[in-house]
Amino acid sequence: MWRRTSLGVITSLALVLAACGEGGSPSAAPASGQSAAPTQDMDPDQTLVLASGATDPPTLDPNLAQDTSSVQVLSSVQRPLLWFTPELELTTEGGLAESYEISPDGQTITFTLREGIAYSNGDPIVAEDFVFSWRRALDPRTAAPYAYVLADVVGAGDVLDMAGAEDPPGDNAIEEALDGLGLSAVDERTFEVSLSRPAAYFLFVATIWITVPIQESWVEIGEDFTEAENYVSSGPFMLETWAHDEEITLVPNPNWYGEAPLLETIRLTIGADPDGVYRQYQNGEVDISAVPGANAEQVRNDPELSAQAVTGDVLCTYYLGFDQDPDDGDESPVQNQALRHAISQAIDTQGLIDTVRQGIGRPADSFIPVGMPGHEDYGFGLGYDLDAAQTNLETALQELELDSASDISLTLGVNADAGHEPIMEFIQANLQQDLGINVEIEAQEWSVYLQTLAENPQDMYRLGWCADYPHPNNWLYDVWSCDTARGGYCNEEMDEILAQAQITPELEDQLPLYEQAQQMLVEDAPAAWIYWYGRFTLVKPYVQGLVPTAADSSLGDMFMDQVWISPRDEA
Amino acid sequence: MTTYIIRRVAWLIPVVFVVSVITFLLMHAAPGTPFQPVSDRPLPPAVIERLEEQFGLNEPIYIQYVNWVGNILQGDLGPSYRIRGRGVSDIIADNMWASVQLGTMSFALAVILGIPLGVIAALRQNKWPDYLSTFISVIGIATPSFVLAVLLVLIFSVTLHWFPTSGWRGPEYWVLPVVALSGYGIAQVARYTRASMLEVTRRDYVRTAQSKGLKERSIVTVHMLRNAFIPVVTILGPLLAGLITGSFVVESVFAIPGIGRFFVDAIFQRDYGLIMAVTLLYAVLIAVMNLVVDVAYAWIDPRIRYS
Amino acid sequence: MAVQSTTIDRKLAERPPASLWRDAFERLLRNRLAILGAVIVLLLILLAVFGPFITPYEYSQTDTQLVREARGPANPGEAGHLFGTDILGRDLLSRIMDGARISMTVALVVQVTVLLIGVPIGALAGWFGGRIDNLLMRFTDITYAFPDLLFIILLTVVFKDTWFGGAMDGLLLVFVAIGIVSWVGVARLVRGQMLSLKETEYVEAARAIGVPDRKIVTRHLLPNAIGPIIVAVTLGIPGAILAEALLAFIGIGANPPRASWGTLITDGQTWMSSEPHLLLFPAIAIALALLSFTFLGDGLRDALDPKLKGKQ
Repeated sequence: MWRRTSLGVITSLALVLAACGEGGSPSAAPASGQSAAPTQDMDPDQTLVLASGATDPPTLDPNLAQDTSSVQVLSSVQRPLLWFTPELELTTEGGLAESYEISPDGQTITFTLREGIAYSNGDPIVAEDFVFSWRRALDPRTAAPYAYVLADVVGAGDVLDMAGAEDPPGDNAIEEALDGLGLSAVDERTFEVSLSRPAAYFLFVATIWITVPIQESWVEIGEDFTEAENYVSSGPFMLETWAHDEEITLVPNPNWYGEAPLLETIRLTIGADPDGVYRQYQNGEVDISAVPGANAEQVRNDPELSAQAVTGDVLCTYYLGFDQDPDDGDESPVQNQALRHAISQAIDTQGLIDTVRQGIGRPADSFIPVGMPGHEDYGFGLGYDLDAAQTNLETALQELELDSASDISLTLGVNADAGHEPIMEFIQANLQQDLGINVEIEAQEWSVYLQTLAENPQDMYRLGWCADYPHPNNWLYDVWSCDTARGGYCNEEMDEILAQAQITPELEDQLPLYEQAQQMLVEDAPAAWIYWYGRFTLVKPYVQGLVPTAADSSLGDMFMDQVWISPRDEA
Repeated sequence: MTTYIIRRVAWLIPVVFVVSVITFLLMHAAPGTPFQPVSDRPLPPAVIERLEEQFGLNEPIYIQYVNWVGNILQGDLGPSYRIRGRGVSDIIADNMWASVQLGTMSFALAVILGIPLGVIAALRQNKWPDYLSTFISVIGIATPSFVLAVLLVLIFSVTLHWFPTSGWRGPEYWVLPVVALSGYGIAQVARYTRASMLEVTRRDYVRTAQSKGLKERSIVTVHMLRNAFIPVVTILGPLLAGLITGSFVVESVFAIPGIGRFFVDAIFQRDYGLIMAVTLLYAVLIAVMNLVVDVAYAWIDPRIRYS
Repeated sequence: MAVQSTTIDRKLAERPPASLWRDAFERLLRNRLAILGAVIVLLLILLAVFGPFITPYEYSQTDTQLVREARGPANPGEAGHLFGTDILGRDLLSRIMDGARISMTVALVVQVTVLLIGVPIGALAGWFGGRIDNLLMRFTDITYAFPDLLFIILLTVVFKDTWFGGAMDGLLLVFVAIGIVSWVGVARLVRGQMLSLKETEYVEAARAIGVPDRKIVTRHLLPNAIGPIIVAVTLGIPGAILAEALLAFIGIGANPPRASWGTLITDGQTWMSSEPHLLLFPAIAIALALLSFTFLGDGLRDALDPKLKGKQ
């Protein structure tokens, strides 16, 4: 998911769960699928207190949600067809489908729903609800930001085109197009999806929060259907209260088909920024908190706190895009590939991690981060190499017919908040001090920044990308194909390889293709890869059974049903 | 006097009108759209266009304004553009109360501490009470509220565990934010009171009173305070209005669901409906406070006549 | 009006030596705190003007190696950095010295804007009363009724891409915006003083003997109102510096790597518990500036007050 990457303080997916320092992490149970529910040693108060975002979750409408704080809640209160194992493999365990079948041509997927599953309001979950939900997500009138993930459904392309049509089509035309979608409820328990091509990664789409079932009668309640009193849950927990801007509470959903959650309540407190959450943690007001960079070294040096730390990789990449588009009104020197290489090689990414990032994260030399299928240490990354950078710079100067590096002036765009500025200042210093090119940082407030990116980006611009689903397609195709890339990047050869991978059934056969594509991407350098996110989160010792997984929006939120609290006073 | 008040209240209408027109224009002149997500993934332009159409943002600006005024006159503050499914009136109703509580308490603290500090300082000019008072007010002014707020949390919550770090759920949650927010107010009130008291001390009638041998205390209370309050009242109105309309800093640091941070968020997120509503609220509040100040003037200083 | 008030100054200053300005100056000299304040203010001004020539380091000069070795920002006194460094290894002292420039400019630009708008409007409204008062006060109301932050943020966003928005690393626009929302207090204060003073005996006497209005206002009323104005401006300078800091906290400020004291404090605040020097030094710098302006303002106020003549 593209998040407003606030430097990993808002954490995301963790694959590798490593204990910080010696002694291991008592709080994070080994990833074991199902926890052994303890009967004794439980604290009488089974309430887990978590921090939500600094602001109210913008929406709990599953079709519309797009940010971390909304997804954090949705992971517990809604369920899609499929779910993950802690190792990020697809499974029906924990999902609403009992099984699925892919037709021999790979273009029809038939999901069979579990028997007797019901919403928190007691109504059965039926295949028709999936049809309604997916259709609603694609409906241009819904304006769902994530609608594009369903693009491979038959007819979805037409519907998505409608959203962008010059003359907005009328309701009739829209309904007609929606009726043409390849979605059908064969019977109450059979949901059939027809794809316009054998998209091998499509099963992963059936794990995203926007594809959860939605009852038509629920949405028909009206604007306030997402308020707690109206909320209908399909997941292990349900929404009990939502005091806007203060707190959300979740309680177990009595109609959940699986084992009942061990927690009695999850309280999500709203309003604190990452520094504030950390202070809440220190004062015992929340049970889990990311460690702000400024406190990282302090925590490492504190035996008690470091024992509470959970570290690991996060499936997010921080990068610096280059504006290569000659058609957006300006000619930028970064259209020169040698210059792009020089810039990439002049950025001391390890130094950045060691200093500004205070050791959280890893230096990146390609797009797909550690922990993702499709990431390997391929060895073709450009890396930090000042000599090579100088050579490339000289080539670039010749090609650009410039006399010296100081003739190059570049703008560097960043959104003015959340501590991105020190990173930009670090990069600026690298480029100015080591390459001698002029870099001017342009800090813009968020909505202006996004508009600038859409219209005419700076020569270099900061962005981050996090996994929507753990498959390379979500990285290479969704970000860098000719259809999707920003900055005017387009490599048709790479697109062909990506298209080939999309219809290659097995992941192991796809991986060589993705390796090839990544090599092209590194060579083309549409961006300088800066770092892969890391997790550095504290968990109170009495929080047991936490399972950090690859699809977490915040630590452990995919398996909250397995978390329990051991006696607080003993911890 | 009554006619004067009525006329001033009537004046509110053009004031609010002008403020709303300027805000509306300025707000729409700023680049950006309310529909940009808070995540790093910009919405496809098509989706944004669709949303703008849904909310009538594709209409010419004057039509949008007329529509907005029309809705307001019917008591409809409209939807929030960013928070789907919630009306602006809901949001304001949900968030106003905490800000009003926080503001009122901070105001009370500022007056209760600030005025005595100022009076004592003036009566003992250039003696240690004066220096102490000046010192306190300088600390109040010299410490940015976000430093003071975080410092208070680190000392009294994180280290001593006396108070919760954040939230707004009961009296124990109020202490630190109120102290953090009133720091500047205390200082300001104290300084104005001191300056004003000194001014008054030198007036002839005070000297006369002194020479008549009345006890110092009665001079202070009877003659000086009343006159000294004139400039102080000037700042109290705006101070109260400022405190009640919410403090972005204190509400952010203490995670208080108040209107102050909502407003700043709304500005950054171009949540047009919310911006307009809070601006109106703010405008009316300030105008009323100003009126109160002017009336208070006339009440404290009978020499001032309004016609 | 602006021109007028400077003429007053000159006229008053040109008076014979026995004038109240000389007395005032003498009284000021006797006020130790005010002198201390004045000295510090002077130092800050010198720092703002000549700082770049004497800073130990360039304010944007980074030193990654140092931060790596120190496993964090260098502490005060380490590796030739008197105040330590930030997380990029930049010398904090140099950054604070550069920040002095910004803060002194805030003080100047904002207060000049405030005086230029506030004093004339307040004086006119208070003196003439009636329709003019009403008109000006409604104008004041409108300005005042604007939420400051909204106005400043929108103004800085709307004009960011103009030459004005680019001046001084984007700061000039911010300062003027702060000034534009800050003058109302002074205007109301001056008006309040006018309302109160114009009813006093000596004004009535002056009127009775036919002294023209303009003369009464400039010769008698404004000098009498100067105490509160000075207090307001004194308090206004810290206010302006703090407003800049608040805006930095919200994310509106100089383009990096330029940093005002507000920016330094905002950044330092996140390090408060682990690397307190990052907060401490900029906070001391601000506090020092605010203190000295306050003491100086107080001293000036006491010294300038004509009614104090002969006392003490």
